[in-house]
Amino acid sequence: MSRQTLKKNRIPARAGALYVHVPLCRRKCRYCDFFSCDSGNTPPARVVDALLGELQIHENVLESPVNSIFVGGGTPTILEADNLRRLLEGVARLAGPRTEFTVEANPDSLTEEVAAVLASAGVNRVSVGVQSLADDELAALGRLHNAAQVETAVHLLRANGLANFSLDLIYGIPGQSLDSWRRTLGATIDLAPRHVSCYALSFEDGTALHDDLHAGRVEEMPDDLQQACYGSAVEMLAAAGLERYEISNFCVDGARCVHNMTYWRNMPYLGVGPSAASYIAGVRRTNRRDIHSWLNAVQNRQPCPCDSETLDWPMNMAETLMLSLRLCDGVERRSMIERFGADPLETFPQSIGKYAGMGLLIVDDRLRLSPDAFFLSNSVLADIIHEAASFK
Amino acid sequence: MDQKYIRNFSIIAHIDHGKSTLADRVLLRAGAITQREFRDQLLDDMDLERERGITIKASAVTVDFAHNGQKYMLNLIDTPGHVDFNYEVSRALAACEGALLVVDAGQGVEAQTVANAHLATKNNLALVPVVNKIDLPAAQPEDTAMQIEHLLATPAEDCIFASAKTGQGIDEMLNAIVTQLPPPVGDTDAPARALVFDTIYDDYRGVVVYVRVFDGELKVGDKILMMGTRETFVISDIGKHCPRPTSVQSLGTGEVGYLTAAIRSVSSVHVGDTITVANRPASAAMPGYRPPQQMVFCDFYPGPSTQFPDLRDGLEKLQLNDAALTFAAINSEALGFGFRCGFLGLLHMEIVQERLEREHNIEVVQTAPTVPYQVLKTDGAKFEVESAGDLPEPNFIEEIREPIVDVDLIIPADCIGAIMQLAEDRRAVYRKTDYLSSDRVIISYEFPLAEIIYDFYDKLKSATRGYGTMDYEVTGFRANDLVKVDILVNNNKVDALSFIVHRTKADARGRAIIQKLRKEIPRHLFEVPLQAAIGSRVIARETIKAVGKNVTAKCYGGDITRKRKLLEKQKEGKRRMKMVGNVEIPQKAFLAVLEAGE
Repeated sequence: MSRQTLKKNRIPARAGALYVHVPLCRRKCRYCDFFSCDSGNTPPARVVDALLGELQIHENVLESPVNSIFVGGGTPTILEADNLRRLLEGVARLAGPRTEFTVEANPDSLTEEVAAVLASAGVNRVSVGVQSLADDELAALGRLHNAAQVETAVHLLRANGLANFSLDLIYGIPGQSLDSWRRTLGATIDLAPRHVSCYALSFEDGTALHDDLHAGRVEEMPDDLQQACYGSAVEMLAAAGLERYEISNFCVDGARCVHNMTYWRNMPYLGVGPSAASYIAGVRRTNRRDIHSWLNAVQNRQPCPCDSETLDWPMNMAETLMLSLRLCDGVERRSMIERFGADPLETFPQSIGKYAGMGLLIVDDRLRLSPDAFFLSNSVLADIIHEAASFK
Repeated sequence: MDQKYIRNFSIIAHIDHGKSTLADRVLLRAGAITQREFRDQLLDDMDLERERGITIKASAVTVDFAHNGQKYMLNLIDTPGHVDFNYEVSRALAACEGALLVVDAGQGVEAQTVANAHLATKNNLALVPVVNKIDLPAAQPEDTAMQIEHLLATPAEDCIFASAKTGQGIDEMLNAIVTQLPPPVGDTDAPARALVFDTIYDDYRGVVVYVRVFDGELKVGDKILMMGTRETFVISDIGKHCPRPTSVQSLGTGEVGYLTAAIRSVSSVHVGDTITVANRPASAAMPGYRPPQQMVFCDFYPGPSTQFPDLRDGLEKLQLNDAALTFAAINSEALGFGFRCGFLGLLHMEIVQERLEREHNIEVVQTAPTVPYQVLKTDGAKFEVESAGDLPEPNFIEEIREPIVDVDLIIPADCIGAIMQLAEDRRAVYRKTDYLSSDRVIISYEFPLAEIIYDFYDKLKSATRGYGTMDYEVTGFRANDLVKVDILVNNNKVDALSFIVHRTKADARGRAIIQKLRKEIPRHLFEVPLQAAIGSRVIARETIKAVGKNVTAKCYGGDITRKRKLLEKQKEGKRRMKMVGNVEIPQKAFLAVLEAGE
């Protein structure tokens, strides 16, 4: 990394966020492109050993204690109680009393025993992969649970003192109607979550659903219907006290996901596990999506093979905008000036000027997207990225 | 030399019928070139010509030839080989007393052969018919000779059977030139009159003028007068290509050669003009002079706008050598600064564009070609427009006249139906059909020029399995029910997309273009209406829907690099866009007018 970039990107030297990727699933969901392996073929104990081993190698880049720990996947909750406990206790030692400690859970694998392990290991936030509360839609997505199991899982969490949970939903599912989506939203609200994520389904390369789309077996939900679904989410969740704070994320007051805020503010984080990404000292590193090379490397106390990238400062700044404009609050111009030595308005006058003129960007002390612009945000961000690229 | 020992002749042939090789044979036989030099086509100068198999620029070669112990001077005047250069061909023929009419024994008579044979007859040229390529396995010399008999009403047995490749029949041909073609019969004592049949620009010498002296003589040092442009110059050099340039002191009556006179621009000497001597001028110029007539216009814009000065330099350099090319700077709202260029025809346009790109490294964005229209306004004013954008509002127009051409098509007889249909679609008026042989016909039509400049030639080729050939000649202008169609993008008129079309075709063409644009213009953050309109009346309408969704639903730690790259890619496609109002239009959409033909 050059001196120039260092000067122009003042961020904390150490990472305040830790991500642990558990690369195991019982079965791959039809839409999912996260890296995972069949849990039947990969010994969970070895995976846990390797995750803890890799953490040990990189631990010194973390703040002590860390602000947030996020154990995701994959499906962390399919680790048997022993392995899950060993993993969670192994990472919990990095946490302090105020650390947000999240684990992802699927309703089908969130058993009584698992809930108890989560609670006893100090987990204080659970992100539940609900996706839908209509059984036919769950089947279309290839999920292993049904709507009834979601309710059971939520009861289990509450019974174990884990009332701080988030429910993930997907709209734009082939065959889904606006009515059915609104029913899912209503039933979700009835479960009284403190946090909800609503994602538009995307057809990612290499997924079963992507193949279906190209073979004409399914159709993408029309844009205007997706827009209506999104509008319903914003409206219904707000009425239930869950305010949007990021393009796809909603919460009751004070329940923002600390861990994800690190990403959206483009602050440093450490990721362990195959496919996990880190952002340390201005360098983005992404572990290879390969379980064997990861296991072998960590066993030999070597860092996992990875791809890395270091950006020049205009692109770094553009990327920071790409992330922070996802937040309803956007970004403070002063904080950008402190971090990069330049006001984004002066660095990207064309794109920011254009979209401010169209009313899609709101510029005052802060820079943020107008609420109408969220669904079109990539048009704005693509122009900013393009303007950053023209510095070369 | 005494005129009776001079023979001035051309070779009339269709492209690829072997004109250049035959010419080289003549030079070889006369001892003017060696066997090795025979390999190269001496008469063609430019790479481009050789690649396209056509001769763009004419020139003349002089050789000595002994016949029955008498020395003769043979002047071979080359003719341009394409329909666009019809007028130049006619001037080259006017410089001759006779011509070899060369027909490929495998291909038979083609449209261009017919057109040029007629041109030769009109100029009272004696013709020596030659059936060439008789060495080819597919050669049908007798059939070909019969076709020539049909065409010229000369007995088939008078045809000389030859092969430029093997040399067969060449002696016979040369003897025929001497015995069958008449000598010049100018007045050696009259004031000098020389016909200009070609000009070439040379960096060192200025314009090199190719002339045929009809009366009197031209000498180095003579002060000459161009009778058409009224400009005067002093001859600094006179020469002949033998085939290498050889200086001489004078050109006598009936002779052919070139002269230089410190002429800076080809616009001072037009092909067809008559040169006389200023202190003893001729009373009348040679007949048939007319300034170059541009029949096809289009706009050239530099690909990147920074290349505008390069484009101007490139056009200026090409114009030095090409009196028929015109250009004027224009400023289009949509495409910025560029040039409106005028050409003799479509091929001429293609050649200029190709030379700009190849020889001058300029990326050219070209708009759809159009023909010139004559406009009569309601107040009686008359003028010509070269672009639909220059047309006044409909209520000020009394009538619009479009150029009309006579077209000869030579096609296989079994394709008549397809061609009749094609012609009918193009507003053609049928004239007549003649059978050249049992399976080949020549059909004559009158077409509006506008109907054949887009893709007619391609359509002709595909309707005739590649066998059809055509030739055309502009005959005049005629009033027609023509209207200007404007294209509006997001309610802004895009000047570069306006076009003039016959009223009966306006709706279909307007719709086709709008539909094409709908596919070419990307979706914007707002709805973009597209309209085709005659005046204020909308004849076709489409809407490009606004982008409804362009969002990345999820973006977490592992996604950041990938999502950024996706955004970079999204923007990539927008590089070659032109802004019209607040709409981004891809450059290639401006050719939609061209491609949305049918």
